Amino acid sequence: MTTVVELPTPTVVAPRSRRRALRRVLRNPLAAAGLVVVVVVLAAAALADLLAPYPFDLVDFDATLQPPSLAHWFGTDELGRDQLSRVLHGLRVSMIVGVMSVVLSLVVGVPLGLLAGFYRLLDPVISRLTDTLLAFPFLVLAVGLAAILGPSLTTATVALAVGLLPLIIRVARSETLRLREMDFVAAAVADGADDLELLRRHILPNAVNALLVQATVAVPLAIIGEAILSFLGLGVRPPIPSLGVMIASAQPLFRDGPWLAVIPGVAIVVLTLALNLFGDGLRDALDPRELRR
Amino acid sequence: MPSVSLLLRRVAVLVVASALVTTAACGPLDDNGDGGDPGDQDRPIRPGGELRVALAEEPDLLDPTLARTLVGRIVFVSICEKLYDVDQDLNLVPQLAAELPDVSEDGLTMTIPVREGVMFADGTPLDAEAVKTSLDRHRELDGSARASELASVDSVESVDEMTVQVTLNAPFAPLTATLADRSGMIMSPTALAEQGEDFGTDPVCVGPFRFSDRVAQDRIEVVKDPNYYDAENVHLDQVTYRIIADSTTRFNNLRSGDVEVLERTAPIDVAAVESDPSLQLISSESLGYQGVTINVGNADGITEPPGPLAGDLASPLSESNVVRQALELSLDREALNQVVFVGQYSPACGPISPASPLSSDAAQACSEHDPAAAMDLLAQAGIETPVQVDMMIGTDAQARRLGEAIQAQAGEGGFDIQLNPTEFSSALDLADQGNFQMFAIGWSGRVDPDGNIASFLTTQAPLNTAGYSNPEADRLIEAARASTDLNERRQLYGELHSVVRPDAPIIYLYRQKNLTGVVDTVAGVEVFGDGLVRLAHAGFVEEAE
Amino acid sequence: MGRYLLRRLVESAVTLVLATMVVFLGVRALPGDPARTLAGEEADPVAIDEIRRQYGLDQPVPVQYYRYLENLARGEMGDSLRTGLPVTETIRDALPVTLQLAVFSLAVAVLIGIGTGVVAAVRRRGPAEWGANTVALLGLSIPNFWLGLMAILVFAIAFPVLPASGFVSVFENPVESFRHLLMPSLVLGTGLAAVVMRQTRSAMLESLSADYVRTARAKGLSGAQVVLSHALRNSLIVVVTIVGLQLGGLISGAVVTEQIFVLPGFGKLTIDAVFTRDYPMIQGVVLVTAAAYIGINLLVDMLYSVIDPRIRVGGAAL
Repeated sequence: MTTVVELPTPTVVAPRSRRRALRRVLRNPLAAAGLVVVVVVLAAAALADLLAPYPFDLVDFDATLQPPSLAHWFGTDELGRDQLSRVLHGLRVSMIVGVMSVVLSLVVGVPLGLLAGFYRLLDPVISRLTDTLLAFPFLVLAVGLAAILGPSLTTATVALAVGLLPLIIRVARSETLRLREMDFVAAAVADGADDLELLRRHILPNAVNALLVQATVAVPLAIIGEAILSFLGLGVRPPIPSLGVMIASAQPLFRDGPWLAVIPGVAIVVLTLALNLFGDGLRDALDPRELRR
Repeated sequence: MPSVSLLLRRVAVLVVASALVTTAACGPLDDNGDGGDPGDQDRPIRPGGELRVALAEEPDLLDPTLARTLVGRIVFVSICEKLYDVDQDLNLVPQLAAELPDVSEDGLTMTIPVREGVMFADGTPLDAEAVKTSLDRHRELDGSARASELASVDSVESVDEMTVQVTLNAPFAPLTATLADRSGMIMSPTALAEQGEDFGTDPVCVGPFRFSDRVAQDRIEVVKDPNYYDAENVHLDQVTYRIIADSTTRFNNLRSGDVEVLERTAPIDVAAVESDPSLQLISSESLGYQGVTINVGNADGITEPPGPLAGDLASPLSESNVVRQALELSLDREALNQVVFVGQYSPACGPISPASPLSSDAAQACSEHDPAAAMDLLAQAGIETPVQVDMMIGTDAQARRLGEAIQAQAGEGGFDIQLNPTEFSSALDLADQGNFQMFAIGWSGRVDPDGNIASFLTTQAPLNTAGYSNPEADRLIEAARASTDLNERRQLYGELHSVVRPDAPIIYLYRQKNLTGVVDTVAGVEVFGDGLVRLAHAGFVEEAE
Repeated sequence: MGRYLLRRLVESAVTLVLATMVVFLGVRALPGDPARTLAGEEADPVAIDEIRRQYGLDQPVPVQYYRYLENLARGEMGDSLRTGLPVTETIRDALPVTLQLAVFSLAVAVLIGIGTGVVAAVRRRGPAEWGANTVALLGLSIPNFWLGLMAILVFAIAFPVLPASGFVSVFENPVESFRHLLMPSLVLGTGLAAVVMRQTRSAMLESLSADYVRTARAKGLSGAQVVLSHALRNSLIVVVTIVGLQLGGLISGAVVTEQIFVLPGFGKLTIDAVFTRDYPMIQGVVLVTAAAYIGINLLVDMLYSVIDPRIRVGGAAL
């Protein structure tokens, strides 16, 4: 639930070296395995409508609480719905909320961070706001926001994005602070580049590595965050399945249908572990210190 | 001539007895508030011990005048006795009063004799003056949650040391039942004088136990009160109420032996309790109901006169009672009960519990599940199907499950229900504002059916979130409330049901049961239809040591 | 130096004031009327108005905010709308619970995190590093509410060796306290272990490549001696500081962990207060959390500026 990002030491990373970094990631077997799992889950989630053997909301009162079988690989729940289909759709919700909330926090946070790092006048304002948000624990912030906005998929996404926002702003800001002092920026200024051009063409591209690392850490966090919000009843609307909702519903049924609580939990773990393994590999690969060894 | 209440009591016994043999129109009636397995609860008890009870929610302020939560009453039953109480058949019986009240012929004066030889936990003797002090505080204190319950009371006087006379501004048959709840709790006048508004942080009343300590969000401790008039029959030294909100966690704590008594066992856990030889289950029919409230005319909020809904909220469902009847036909109460509550609850078709002495066949009249007929009704009325409609539900797993089951069933009857999970706080607000189409909600129930009906179905009543208004219903509710004749009241409530049912502002679906889980080593726990867990005579059984 | 400290102090104060505003407005942005929620089933409009008046909720928001600050300055946070008990008293009861849970969890996180971190740093590129990595990341990847449920089902129900819920203070009964906190702190600690592991690994890598370690190696000290006596010791300072910054993460995790194990601590208090719209309580607990976080951040920054003026910590806690 918690992380501290190690920033790469100052250097300029060109796109070509980024491609090399990706190759380095894939040479790390754990990261490569993580990537494969993530891609498979992504594909399964995207094709959930095709892959799911049943509609996720098909209620069958004659087939409730069936243990896993050939007809229902993951069994059925208390309303007779096919768990495999629900897990597939649940993974889709996880991926959508996980990725979209990170994208949203990047869209809002990166410009703010760039501005804070670039303009000394704006820095105190943006930094105080960031500190204020940071002073509230991620989940408290997300739960509060979700309660304010009312439970839904959009709400969960927004709430988690706000929770992640201070992290993104911080990284973007400190990268900008660092890059602003670099020689190539001074050279660009000498060539007559204006502020916007500096930020867009020189600073942002070089901050991408750090942001990328931060984003890969944030996605699994957001996925777990979504599960927790749903578990607390602040997530997606039924009957759309969310893995957190499935665990919450299965909790009282553990005796009659242990698979109902175990399978969605394992699904979350597999997905987030894969993302974390890949993210860890990516960080190592993008961290130039690795090159020295 | 016998007093009304005495009469009421006698008839009540008769009705309950007959309810056991007649089959209610809607669904079978099993366990009739008889306290489950009395054999197990009758074993010899050793004195002493600490009993731990898991509560489903945190009680609010423990001040009888200001308290509002249902769960608070479970703690009060141990520490604050009332003028009247109910017995296991839901008959009203005297508790701190010596007898049932003597009501004058015009129904405007009620004479209550006070029980002799009773002392509050602080040693102050109970007398008529103490009763008057408490009743006046209930009626007059700023922010009193009792004031509206006692609105029919004009004045309270102590006629002699041990007799209280209550004057009413209009006949109000449910008053004795009201005095069997928090409005009838008598607080120590000494403690009231000392603590004033802070009474709730250290309440002093008459009860088998007295308040000892409270740690917010964790526990409330009460200890045996040596001043209690029946102290020799109280076995336990201490009761600790532990607050455990989640039903699964609560049940896990019972199974792991971390608590001995479990209030509100989830239906889904009943099988496990029954199959576990170290656990016992006490089951009693609840007095409340659960169902779906439909916004039929709450256009501008609950305090405004009802009118037609506008904008997105308007739908055939709010405009036509035929559509609502079709919705009711499409719902299968028995299947809901089976699927969502593993058959532990009872189907319900109206606001009055079949266990109530005022229930009748007419009050239990019900429609059969028939989705085809529902489709026909909609077709005849020229309604385009599927009828799109939103339903607010709670955010917990059980509310979701119920919502999904209703959604699936209504789908077969030509309805497309969108589920809208809403936190309880927001939902109450939206319901009051009239900003909803359907709301899956219920009512915990009161001993007198008036408490289940008047506030919900009378035009512009405080809980009439449906915005329902029918002059005929208003008239019947008022008549039933004013009548002092039990048979007449029963008949009026039957008539009322036949008037309201076709309008279907509320589709009554099921009636919960008070399911109390108790470990095998404990006996003497009593739970009646009001759902309170009575521990005055509970204790650990002899052979346990 | 003095100027830097002064600036940090002012910044922290500004952040704290902003935090009170965010909490105050956030609480009032919650849908649902606290008076109505409190009235619960029994919604008598007169009584609801009376509750509003009693708690000053009928006043304009700026007036309410001013009163709130006024009370705060006197150290008062009002009474809980739910229980009627003073918020400060409730917080005082809840604080030790969460602190003890935090200490236990940090112990778990440090044990797992430093162990795996050292292995990952010393045994580069091989099954040992992969294993250490996976163990640490697994902790980060398991949703702790699910882990908690599974743990209860296994260790409290199937094999009843540990209590399913509740709290016993370590000062009252150390053995019982340990039994009650074992599961919650394992659940919470595993999530933090990955952070500790990452810090340990990178700090270790840094010190292993430092000159004095090379010198020590050159002097013929064995690998283990170098790792333990030099590299690890020097890395610990950084690690311990970073760990100290995990308060936010701990409270986040505690929100769910306390809910599942029914620990009457801060996280549970916060969530319960949000769901019951207990305004004074939400304001109280969230503000104390925020103040603690801001305070710890300030402390760490100051420590750092004393130890090594070059380091500015980017302590990002989720």
